[in-house]
Amino acid sequence: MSEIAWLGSLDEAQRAAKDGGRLVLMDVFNPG
Amino acid sequence: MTYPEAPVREAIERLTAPYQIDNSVEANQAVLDRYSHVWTPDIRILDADGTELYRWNGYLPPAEFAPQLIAAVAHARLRRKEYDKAKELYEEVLRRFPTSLIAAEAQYYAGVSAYRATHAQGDLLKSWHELEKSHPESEWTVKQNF
Repeated sequence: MSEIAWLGSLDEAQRAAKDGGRLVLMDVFNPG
Repeated sequence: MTYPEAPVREAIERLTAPYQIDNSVEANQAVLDRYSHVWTPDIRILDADGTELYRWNGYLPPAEFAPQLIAAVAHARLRRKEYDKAKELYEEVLRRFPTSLIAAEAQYYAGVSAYRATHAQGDLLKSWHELEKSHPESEWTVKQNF
């Protein structure tokens, strides 16, 4: 089963969104 | 686990540039404060410039997460005045996930998107009449104002 390719930073996600005509999904999580 | 499920992964990869941020890391607090983060799960849909266009809190199982995400992106497209894209995504929710929790809201906004695109009242009323039939007890049926 493949995993989602989460981007490394919000800046990187914003750049990818701009380049790809997509929107940023930001998932705030707590590891606990 | 929600993310490994195929419909969830497919929707995320097709529609978004995905980023996860750990709220227990001190270095992340500036970003979290910028978005007034309070509670996890906390999902935001942002424009490429970082403007928040939609948010929701709370766990959703895969069968609900996928339609909620598609509707969330539809809401974001609607706010960007991309009415045809929004309508297409709301209709995808209704076609693929007709019994999901978000379906009534998607039906409501499918009508709004169509109306904003065409300014034809019939497009709005057609969708809202369908909402009355499919979800008579929904808050979104109450929110219809005709």
